[in-house]
Amino acid sequence: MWRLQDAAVERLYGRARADRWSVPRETFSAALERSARRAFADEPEARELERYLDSLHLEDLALACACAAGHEAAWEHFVREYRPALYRSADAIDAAGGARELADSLYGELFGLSERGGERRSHFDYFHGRSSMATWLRAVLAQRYVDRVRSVRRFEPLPADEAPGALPASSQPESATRYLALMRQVITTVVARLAPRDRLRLSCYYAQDLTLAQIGQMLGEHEATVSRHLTRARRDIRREVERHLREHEHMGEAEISECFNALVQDAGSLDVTDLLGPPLEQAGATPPQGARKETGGRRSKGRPEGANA
Amino acid sequence: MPEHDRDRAVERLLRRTLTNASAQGACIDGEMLTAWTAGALRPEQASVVERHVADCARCQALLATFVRAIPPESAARPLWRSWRLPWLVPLATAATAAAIWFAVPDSTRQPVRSKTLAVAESVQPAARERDAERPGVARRADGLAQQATVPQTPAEPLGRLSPGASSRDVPAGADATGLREEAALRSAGADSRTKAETEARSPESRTSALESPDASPESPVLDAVSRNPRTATGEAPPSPRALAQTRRSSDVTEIVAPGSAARWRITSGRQVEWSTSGGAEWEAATIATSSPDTLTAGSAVSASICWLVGRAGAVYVTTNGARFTRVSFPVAVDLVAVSASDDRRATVTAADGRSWRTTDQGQTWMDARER
Repeated sequence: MWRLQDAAVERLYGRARADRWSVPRETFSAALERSARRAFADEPEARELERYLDSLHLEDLALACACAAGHEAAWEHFVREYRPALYRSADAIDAAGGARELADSLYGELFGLSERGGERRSHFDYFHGRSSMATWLRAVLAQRYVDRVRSVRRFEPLPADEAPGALPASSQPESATRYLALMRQVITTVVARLAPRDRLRLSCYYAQDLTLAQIGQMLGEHEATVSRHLTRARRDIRREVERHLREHEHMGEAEISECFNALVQDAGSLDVTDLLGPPLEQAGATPPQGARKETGGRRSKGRPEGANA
Repeated sequence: MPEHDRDRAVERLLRRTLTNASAQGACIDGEMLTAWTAGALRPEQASVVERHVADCARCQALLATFVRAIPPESAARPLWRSWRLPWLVPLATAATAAAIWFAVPDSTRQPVRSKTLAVAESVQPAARERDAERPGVARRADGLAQQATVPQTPAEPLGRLSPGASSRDVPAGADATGLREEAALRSAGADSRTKAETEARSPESRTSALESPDASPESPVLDAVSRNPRTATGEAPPSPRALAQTRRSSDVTEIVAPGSAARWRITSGRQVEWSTSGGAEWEAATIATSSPDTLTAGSAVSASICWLVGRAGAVYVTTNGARFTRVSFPVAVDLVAVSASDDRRATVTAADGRSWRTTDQGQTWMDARER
């Protein structure tokens, strides 16, 4: 078990202004070590460790230590500085106010209401200073929100067969059904062969409905770069699918066209993902009348180059 | 079937298949995800996270919610959106106004005296600084049509311009007559021009007015630039390292002005002190802000010009050594470095490695990689 040197702790303690909140040096040192151990599986080289520790949001880490220990002034500072931002984030997630109660309950956890083994546990213990406090809080709030939405969806009943809203049985011809299944299988294989970042961009755009700008923000890329990569990935997928159908399924051009046609003609066969509803940010929101997920119902979010309307 | 339609078909299928992504192994927790988005992970860790997130619907949903949770006002806008397009209308308006002013002879126009002197007689700098911070109040662009007022604005006392006033506080082309009119109108309340001119008083119109082509050679705005010999001669600015030497101890960051005994130091991240005696004596510098930012670095250009940057997009500049004013910056990122070449031109660098430059003291910023 490796430990930080006292001199390094002292220097970082000063930079963190931890004395403002009377954080004991041992507590701060333990937080630094926790953070470093999370970053390095094995004992790192001294320079690498120093670089890592210097990159931490030390003031925020000191504040987290103080709040976890129940320091009153630190807690007041935290509430004053971060609650408005947390509420704004909650409103940005769910304008109807659904995320506000999550933000409130988060305060309970952060304050350390739970006890484990006779010791007060605060959610602040999970803050390691690698991002700013505000960013971390936003992530925790997002995590709570996602988990809540997913748990709610899990208990939503599927529409009964006789119910007015039930989906009609597929009226596709047998060949079309076969083509659809084949296309789904092929495309899954092709997507799995893409680079992780390409898969992530595609998922964020097509499954999570993020805008090009949001994806760029998340991945540290310019939105034009995101657009270019999406366009390239989609084109590669199409070419790979065509090649697969030609070489592995021994299809001619006409039959390949039939496969793609089957996708276009498919009015929406029973698909669990469709039943699960719209992406998270739209949960609870009423979609425009007659809107379809793929077409008119989508909000404007920037299109990759050459994308279809 | 044309390629276009096939692409469309692929898109439809992607929407369905990608929503079902399911990764192997435990999900990444929020702290790790934020560290990943902040670029704070080591490459091998970042790769593990990326591989997982690429196939995990839950983590993708978490990331999507995380990105959407950025409040609109703090979301970073693409830089080209932040200034170019909103400027078109006020810029065109200012250009048209300037053209009309030159083209149409006006017998009632007073001869323009030395603008600096005229302003000195009529405007108190503090009042103008307050105006500059008030969203509804514009600086004057020229002698044509800036006599507008805001109805609720009380009359400002007239006074002398102190030598320490920033050059940006003095409008290009302003004359004493116009400014007296402005003061009189303030006390009188709104008039028929108020609405239209208040609308024209956007920050963009203010800036475009300051940069309008009819700014006279005596204009303090131009003075400020021309006083800098490097700028005046068009000489390439020296490297940031040659300009200022920054010393950092555990709790103090010291910024030394090149070729001068002036220096500044940031103590405890928030206080700034100024010395003109090579560090023998220090006095507190003023930072014009209501909520102090955490400052991280600085760059001194001369004995009176120094830039400071800090957390959450904090950028400040002083042109008299003692008083730092906030420079607008569009992205709320933690800034860790700055290199300035004069009081208008600087390049700032964020903790995540991105950097932006301005050539007009923060009125506009662009990606430093763009040329």
